[in-house]
Amino acid sequence: MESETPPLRPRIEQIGEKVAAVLIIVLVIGGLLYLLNNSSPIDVAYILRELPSLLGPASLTLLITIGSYLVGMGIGFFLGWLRTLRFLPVRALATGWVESIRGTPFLVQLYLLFAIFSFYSPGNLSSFDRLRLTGFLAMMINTGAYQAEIFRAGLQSVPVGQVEAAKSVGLGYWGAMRTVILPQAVRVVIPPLTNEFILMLKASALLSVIGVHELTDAARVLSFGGKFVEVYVMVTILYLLMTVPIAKVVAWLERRYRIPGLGMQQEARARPIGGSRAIVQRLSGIDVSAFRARAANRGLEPSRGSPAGSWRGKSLTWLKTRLGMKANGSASQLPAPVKSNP
Amino acid sequence: MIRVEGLHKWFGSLHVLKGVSLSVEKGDVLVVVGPSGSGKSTLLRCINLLVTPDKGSVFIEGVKVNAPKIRPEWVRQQVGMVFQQFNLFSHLTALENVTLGLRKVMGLSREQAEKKGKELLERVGLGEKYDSYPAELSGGQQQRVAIARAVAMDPKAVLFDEPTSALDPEYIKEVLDVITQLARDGMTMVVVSHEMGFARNVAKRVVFMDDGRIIEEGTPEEVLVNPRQERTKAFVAKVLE
Repeated sequence: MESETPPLRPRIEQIGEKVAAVLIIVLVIGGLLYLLNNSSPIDVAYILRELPSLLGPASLTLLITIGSYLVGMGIGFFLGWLRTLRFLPVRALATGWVESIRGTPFLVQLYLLFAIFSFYSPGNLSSFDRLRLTGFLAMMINTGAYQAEIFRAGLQSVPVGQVEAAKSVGLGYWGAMRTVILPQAVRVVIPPLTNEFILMLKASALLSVIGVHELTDAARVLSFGGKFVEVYVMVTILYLLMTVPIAKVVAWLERRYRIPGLGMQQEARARPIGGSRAIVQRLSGIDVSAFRARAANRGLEPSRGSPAGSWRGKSLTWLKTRLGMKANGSASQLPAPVKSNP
Repeated sequence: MIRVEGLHKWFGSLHVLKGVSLSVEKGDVLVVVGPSGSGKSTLLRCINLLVTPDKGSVFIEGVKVNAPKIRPEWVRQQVGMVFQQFNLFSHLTALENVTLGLRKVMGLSREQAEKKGKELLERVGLGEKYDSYPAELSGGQQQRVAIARAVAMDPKAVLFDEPTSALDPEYIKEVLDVITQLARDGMTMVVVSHEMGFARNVAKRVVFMDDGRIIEEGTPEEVLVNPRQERTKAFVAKVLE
């Protein structure tokens, strides 16, 4: 039996989306550089010189985010699980907590915790550590509530029939939870959990207001030197370097561990002709593959993709072997491009 | 083997089962027919305690199972169940579906469980599909895997809750064939089904239920061909036309 594939989106829509994205980025960045270059050009040397000084604060950002996110995951799972229970008082308590965290600004939560800790200092912490602890706890509490909602939705997304089937083979509540409910729920919660991580990473910039010396705070301090634009360009790049790979890696993991009929479905499976060629063909009405075929006849076949000899091809091969994939594994799964014979 | 006495079930104010009593002998096939909403599914679910009866008793081999000291998990190990919507674990392959209970409940090693699982899949004609996920199988194939999963636990009886009514017509026969074969092999079964041909050929006894009560009970001939009660006559006439 063939597995059912979701219908492909109209190709023009897919292409249009990409073209628009590229255009927007090019226009915004190009425009910015153009404007700045007229009056006071961006000091690239300054950026290169000062970038390393921001790596320490950036790693603090990463550390606090990862730490609070992971502890918050434990809290979130527990609270989310409580919210799926039948017993009303427990459920109401969990719901009340989640709603009060979700219903107030993170900045206010941060200030509140900051105020509390400035009156009741826990232990003998230096003020430096106390600030970091305050920020860590605020983020942990905040993300815990949001993750509770994600886990609740994930647990409840598992159909009743699955649970009944688990029970009918003799599994108890926890057995069913471990072998059936959780494995299915996990695949549902991964995209929103990734999103939540990225949101928290960005929310960590708010810790600068209580004086935690993370990336944004370091940037603020550095910008007093006068190079405002350069500093925030650096910070922008650093944040992007932290957030974009995460999204990419998770998307890749999702594809790799995808199970037919569960969780994310592949949007586009087979594309008759690939990327740029399709755009050219769509916009110009010219069948590019015809040129290609003619070129091939004359012995001028242009290299397709990244041949193994090129720099990009080599590094791709290296990356794939490091990641335990067959060097050409993913490429060979792609549908062969349609050749048209002129 | 299975005995039900004076079973009552309420869902809120809805009285679903109004004193149902029946018994199934070892190796017998009991087919339950009746209009939808008559309480057939609830009756089955009461037998393996997916639904807790409010009044009355369920006995399996003379043991009263809806008793506080009996673990429902133990009961469900004794009585397998096949669902209308198959309910295969969608994150597991066909083989893993069959072996999950063997490994996690009966404690078999992976090798033992897989050996047994492959034999069972072979028996339902899906030997080569062991590595497929449910979404990659047809309805009929999924239901056959579900039957293998239920039988894998060596249950004393298997309950079938309308096993063919969610299937495309082309797949009904392959599923009924598997159930028939299982009956021939001597499995005790309670089948809720509207397949009259199946009921006539395979059932030892047939029960007609309506409005939470058993209206008529007897051999397939008695209930489905020459029913005595008016309601049974009306139902049979409707189903057969």
